Amino acid sequence: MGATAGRGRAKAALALALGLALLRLLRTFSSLIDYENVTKTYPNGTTALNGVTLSIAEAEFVFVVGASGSGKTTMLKLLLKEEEATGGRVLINGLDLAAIGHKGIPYLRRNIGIVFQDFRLLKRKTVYENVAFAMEVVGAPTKDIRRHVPWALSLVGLSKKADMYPSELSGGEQQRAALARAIINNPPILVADEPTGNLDPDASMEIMKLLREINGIGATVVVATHERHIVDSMRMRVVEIDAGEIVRDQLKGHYRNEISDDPLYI
Amino acid sequence: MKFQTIRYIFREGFLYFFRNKLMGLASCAIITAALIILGVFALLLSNIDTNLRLLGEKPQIRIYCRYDLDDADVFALEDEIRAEPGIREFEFIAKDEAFLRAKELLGEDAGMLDGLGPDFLPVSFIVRLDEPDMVEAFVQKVAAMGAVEKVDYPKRAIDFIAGISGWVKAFGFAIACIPMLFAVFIISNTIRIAVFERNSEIGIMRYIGATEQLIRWPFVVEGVLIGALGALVAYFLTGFGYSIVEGSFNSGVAAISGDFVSLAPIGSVSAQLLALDLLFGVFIGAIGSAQAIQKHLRA
Repeated sequence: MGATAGRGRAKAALALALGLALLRLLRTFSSLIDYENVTKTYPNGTTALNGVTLSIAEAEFVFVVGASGSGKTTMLKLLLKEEEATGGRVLINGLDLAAIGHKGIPYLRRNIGIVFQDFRLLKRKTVYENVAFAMEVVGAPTKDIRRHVPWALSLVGLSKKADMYPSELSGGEQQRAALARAIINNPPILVADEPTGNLDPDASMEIMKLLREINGIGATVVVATHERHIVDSMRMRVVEIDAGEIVRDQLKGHYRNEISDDPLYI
Repeated sequence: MKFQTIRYIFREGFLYFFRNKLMGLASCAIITAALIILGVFALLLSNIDTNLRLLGEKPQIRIYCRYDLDDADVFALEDEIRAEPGIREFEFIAKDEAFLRAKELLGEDAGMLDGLGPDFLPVSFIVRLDEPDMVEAFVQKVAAMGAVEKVDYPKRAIDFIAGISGWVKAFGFAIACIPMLFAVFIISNTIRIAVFERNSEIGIMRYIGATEQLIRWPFVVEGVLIGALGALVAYFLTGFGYSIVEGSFNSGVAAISGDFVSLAPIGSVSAQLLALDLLFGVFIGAIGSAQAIQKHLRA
């Protein structure tokens, strides 16, 4: 009797494990962000993106790499609807961004946390106020702000510097504050445009570790960068853009396709 | 709009106002100047209107009899005048009474009349009619009566005030409009500078999902505060100035003219003046700032 019951429990546990694995698989394959044959030509005639097609799944971590002017930032701008695609479609969760009107843009952006190279913190506000500000603009109740901001600051390790102004912080700390602001409203997507461009290698790795942690708790993270050592050390999905076209899409990729080509690795 | 959002807008609006002190005060001064001009014209027009209405309501006609009439003639004339239609009040001023009034009017200088008796003054009647329109015809008819020496009525004053009232109204409005437009322009520029200074802040707000309302309204609150402050200063300065002018006018001109023309006491016009200043100040502030931020958001 005992053995039968034990087998039953084992079967149930197996079924549950299989079910969970299947769900996870489905989740992995259902894309959250889609670029469908996207072209972007600026009014001055520059074509920044040319027929870009890319799918990014929920909870994925993607590096978008390429030289300056290759089109990385334009890809992110299209996602934020800061720019409109001149051809093709950009979709988030199946929703064509072209369908979102001018008034809908703020609500789209509330679902996307953003981190910039130059941090873009408000100089006149403390670290705490900078993070709280992102909640205030979405009309969050004060009691939620009081609860969530300390949580976000502790996540990025800035609890003790909450009352300091951005000018009193190091670059790495400022970027951590910006990261806390980006995630404070629990956005499903986090976009970082050269987040380590102004940081030393140690601070850069700190930020990357945090981005990875945020990805670990369920956020889809898209990082545009041209910092080789970071991409190479993280071994995540790498999408390489050159002259507005995707030239490589690689799981667990490096910054450069052929390591042997790179004199740094010889 | 959520309560949190409204609180945020007001808090930020006040912060913007205090942060932008120098430009804010300069704009306040411009608004104050514009509203003082508006207030002065409004008070002037209001007083002209009030005095005209009072004059129109009870034009006082003074009929002087000829000196050589005896009592019987006077009574006959009185009966003749009283027979006219539309008389509301009729007052008989005998020679004695006219003499007393003259003494009273001269006050300290009454000594001039020593040695003179009431006989040198004519008998007169003071008549008030029901309708101001009837004055002209009535005066003509009475003046033609043989026993009447002279008829006095405030024709010239009425005509003069009615005459200037029209152009004072038109020019007052035009002259008050120019500084108002100027004030809107100045406020708009002040807010534009404020918006420009906060350009990066606005950019960050846009990235973190702030609606245009949330970006726009604190600036409008700032503009309204500038306008309201300018209005209060204008109100106190205009009110203070008016009370001085009113005091000396009423003890001077009005007393001489026997309260024929007088300025309304400050107490009776201050509420309207405050309402006018606040209304226009807030309006100028709101329009100026809304226009500045709108241009920026569209860009």
